[in-house]
Amino acid sequence: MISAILHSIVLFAYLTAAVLYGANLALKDPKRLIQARYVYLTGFALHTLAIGHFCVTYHQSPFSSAFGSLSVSAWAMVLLFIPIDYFYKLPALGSILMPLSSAFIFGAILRSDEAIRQNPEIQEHFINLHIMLVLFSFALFALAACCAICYLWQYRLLKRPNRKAMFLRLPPLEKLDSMALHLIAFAMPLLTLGLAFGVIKALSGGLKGDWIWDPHTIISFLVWVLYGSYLLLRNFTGFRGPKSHILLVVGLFVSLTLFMIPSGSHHFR
Amino acid sequence: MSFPENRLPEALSVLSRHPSISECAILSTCNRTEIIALSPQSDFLEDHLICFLSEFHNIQPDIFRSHLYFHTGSIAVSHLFSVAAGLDSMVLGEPQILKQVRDSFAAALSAQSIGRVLNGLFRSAITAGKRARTETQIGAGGFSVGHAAVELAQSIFGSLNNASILILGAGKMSELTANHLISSGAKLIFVANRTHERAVSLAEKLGGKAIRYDDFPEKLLSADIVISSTSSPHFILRKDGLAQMMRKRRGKPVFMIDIALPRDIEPEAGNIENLFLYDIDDLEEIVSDMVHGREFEVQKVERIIEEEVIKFMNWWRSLNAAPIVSQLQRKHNRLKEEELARLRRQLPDLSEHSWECIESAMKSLTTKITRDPIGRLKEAASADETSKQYTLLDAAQEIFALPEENDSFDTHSQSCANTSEDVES
Repeated sequence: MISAILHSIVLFAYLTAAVLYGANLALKDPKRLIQARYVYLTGFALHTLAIGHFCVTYHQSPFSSAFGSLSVSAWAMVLLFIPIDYFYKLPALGSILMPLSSAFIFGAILRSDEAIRQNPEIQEHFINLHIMLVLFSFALFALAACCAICYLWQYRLLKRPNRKAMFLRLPPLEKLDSMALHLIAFAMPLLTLGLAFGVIKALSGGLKGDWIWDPHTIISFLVWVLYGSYLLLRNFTGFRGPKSHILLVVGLFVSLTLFMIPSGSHHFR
Repeated sequence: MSFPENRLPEALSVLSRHPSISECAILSTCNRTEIIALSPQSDFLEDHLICFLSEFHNIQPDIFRSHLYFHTGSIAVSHLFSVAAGLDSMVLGEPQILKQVRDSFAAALSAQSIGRVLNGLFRSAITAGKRARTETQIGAGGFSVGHAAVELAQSIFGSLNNASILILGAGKMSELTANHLISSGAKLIFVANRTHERAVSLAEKLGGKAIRYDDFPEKLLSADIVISSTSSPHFILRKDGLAQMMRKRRGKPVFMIDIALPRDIEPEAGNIENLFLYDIDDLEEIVSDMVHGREFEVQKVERIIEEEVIKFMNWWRSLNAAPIVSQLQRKHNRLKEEELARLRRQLPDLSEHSWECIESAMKSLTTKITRDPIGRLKEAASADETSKQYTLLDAAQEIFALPEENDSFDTHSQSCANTSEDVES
């Protein structure tokens, strides 16, 4: 109950930050940017507290419920956004990432009443590491997709015949492109390692026999193939420009289905 | 009517020697001349300044009198702050004026023609100018086609430090645009022209390298920015050729500026992925949009100016209390010292430590006694109600039996005046 209340406050903070980031983008007002940072950092601190409270109250890993998994995903996105916001000066990403994190928190709140799986195996460090690696790689994919959305927007502004000075408010194309590439390059090893841990556990008898055809397994593999193809094409054929960024946005939508489609046999025994 | 840099010290020296002027500075740019002066009597200041301008430039006053404007008090202060913020510039928000205000301040400082008040005034003007540019978008974007090209290049590549520029045609416009890009960090410059000697000459000017005109298609494969302004009567770069080039570049973006008339680059080439093609009309449209966008910022800048004017005027008025406050402090310190001396004579056996304690207690006592009256006096002095501040300052002088001082700041009779003249450059 307290977790749900704390998450509601976090949701409010992230939504407020989203509005402030949007206002900064529209008005180029540095005051809004500073306010957005204070608000989302406060929200993030509360978010950390809320996840901690959940673990302490239920003596369970946050991944033992959909509520916890969604919350940790949003938390990972914001956590990874902090260094990007501060060191790489890409506040425009905040106006896309904050609504996305808010959507995850909202989803978490909606599912806060669902039962917590009392599964001892979910408490295993090995399984937790598997989930953590996958979720963090997905958070990095989400950030890359935010860069891609900004890129596509900026590309359109720079290309359309009725050129206006709006392009001044968005980050440079090459900076966004390079950031997206680096995020994917960081995320792929994490995802590969996370999936490898899952496969090892499944092969050692952790999952039922039909785990290969489980929607979560298929989606994870699809995401791996999609982003792996992006990296390969980028390095060997110079795959860049708007098409490559559309692929990154598609990748995000494919990743999101993982949270929407229920798993058939993806329950550890 | 402008004051050349080499004659500015002389002008400041002449002006500051005038008996009716206690502090002065001159802001002289290509399209404005402003004299900022502090005077104990404002009545004849305007005539004095006109006389100075007339004598210094050897021009009859009647010739320029109608072009002058004269502000006093807070209006003069507000005007200087507007100038520093770029609100009074021909191109709204242009950045050069803030540097010129700084230079004018530095010149007055070095000529020792300004004192405490104008020093504070210029510092506040610079603060207002800086705030206008950092807290609003008044200085955002470009001010010319060259600026627009830089903004576009930066929106594509970010930093231009590693960007390479290929210039096709050694015309004046290419040179101007390239200069803007170079001043933003671009270092690798290649120039190609049908007449190779002209390419060599421009390359030398820009610190780049001249290449043979026939070699430019090869250079296109690595260039980030292409500026084309040849006098060719037909397209020198066609869509098909550029599409092939982009394939060879493996999608690496290229920014092309076609400033030639007739055009050098086939307009349809702008549809090629990762090729950003702009002509002179596009750049002019962007500049006009930037200027239009800045007009929305004027209100915000005016609010900043208003805040800074209030702050400055309060500080300026508070200087009225300074002589009385210092007299009051001196009087209480003197009384404290006299009492301590008397006590030392009456109690010779007390230890040094005891005296330290007594001294500290008396110091604390005098500070506490004077704290409230000094606070009230400063408050009254900075208030905008002249009658109130004089009643209280006069009363304080009477109550504490303070002697009258001749060198007191007297804003009532002082005038911070600003005579300006707009002269087309």
